[in-house]
Amino acid sequence: MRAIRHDREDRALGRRLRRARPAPPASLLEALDAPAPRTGRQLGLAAALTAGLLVGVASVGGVGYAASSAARVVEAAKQVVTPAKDGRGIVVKGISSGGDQYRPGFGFGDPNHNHSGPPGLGGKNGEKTPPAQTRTAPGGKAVLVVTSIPVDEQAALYVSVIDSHGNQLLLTQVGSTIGGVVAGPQAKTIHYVVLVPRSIPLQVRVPANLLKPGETYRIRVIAVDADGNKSETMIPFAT
Amino acid sequence: MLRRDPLANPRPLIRRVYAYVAYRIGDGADAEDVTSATFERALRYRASFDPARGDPAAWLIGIARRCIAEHFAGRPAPADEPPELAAPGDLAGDAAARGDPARAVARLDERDRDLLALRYGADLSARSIAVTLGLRTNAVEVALHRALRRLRADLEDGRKETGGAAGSEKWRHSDRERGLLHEGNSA
Repeated sequence: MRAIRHDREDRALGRRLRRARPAPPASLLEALDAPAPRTGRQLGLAAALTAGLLVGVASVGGVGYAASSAARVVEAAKQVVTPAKDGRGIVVKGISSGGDQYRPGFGFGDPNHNHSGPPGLGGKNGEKTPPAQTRTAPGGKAVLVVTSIPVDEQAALYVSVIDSHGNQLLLTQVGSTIGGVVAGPQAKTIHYVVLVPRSIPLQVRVPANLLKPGETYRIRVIAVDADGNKSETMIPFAT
Repeated sequence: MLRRDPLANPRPLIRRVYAYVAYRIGDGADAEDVTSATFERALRYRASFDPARGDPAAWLIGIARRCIAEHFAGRPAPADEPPELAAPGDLAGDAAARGDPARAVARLDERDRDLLALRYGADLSARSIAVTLGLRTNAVEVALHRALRRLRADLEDGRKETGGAAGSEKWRHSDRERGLLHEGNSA
């Protein structure tokens, strides 16, 4: 008898729970019940997967690496056919992997590296870094800061933009150029390895909302060579 | 090619999934988010639905359970306790809320809440619940009966305690203590 009574009470409470159960708002029902053609969704999924793959490759620098590799090949070819401007004896016997690196003044992996001291950022013939020019990027959401900097030996460059208080600004790598194309997510420091000493073109893309009109900012370039020697230069610019 | 589209008639399924999720985590924005995530995932993987392994509702509830787990796993642990505010003095409103079984479910422990949500929110049979939870049907029926008994006791306690000022005070205190676990989840 007791079991029957409990069973009856359970069923009554169950009915109350069903009646009281929360109902989804109409907006949710409408949103989830919207028809979606399967083919379109499959295409969308393929596009999303492709985009995800590209983002994944770009996030580890794959796109930038491929582009910079291509640029290096072009530069290496130029070294073979173009005499050095400073007149030093350069003998390149052929194009091989790393062929552009094995000459005096090239540090990474070169036992004959003869550059002493930190990387020179002023140019061999005393040329100076040109003042940085700014212009608004298409769309108006970013400012492009353009200049160039001579680097006289192989070095890893660390480029950042700092404000008057010494704070680093977030930089957009996509659309920035340091010697070659760089890629990756927004970062406060952009890293680029210079394998061929030359005047490195710089174009740094800064989100416009981070820059206050009339204020002076500086591009900070730190160069570290294969021996760990470090040099630093500041290139001011105003908005 | 789909053998059978599990989302051919989505509205009743949306209601069942939402009710299940709301019984688990509380009615409101969180429940809407989890329901949306469930259907978004179901759309992506609907080709994997196998009618031999259960009906579409059970399949969706399986997805919803994972979405709920991820919803809470992704939340950072609160750095400090939320301030404990004084309960409002609306005794009539409190008493009415106390008698609401949907609110009483939120005061049960996680396992009871899950069982009742599966049975009376998602409207799954004891057999489907057993498959979902990896239990025997008989064990599910017993567990459901015990959960209902605890729910009934909670509702009866509430009726008794809201009968007097001292009891009301005691109830409000204990409910606030237990209610901290569901902060922000209930409407």
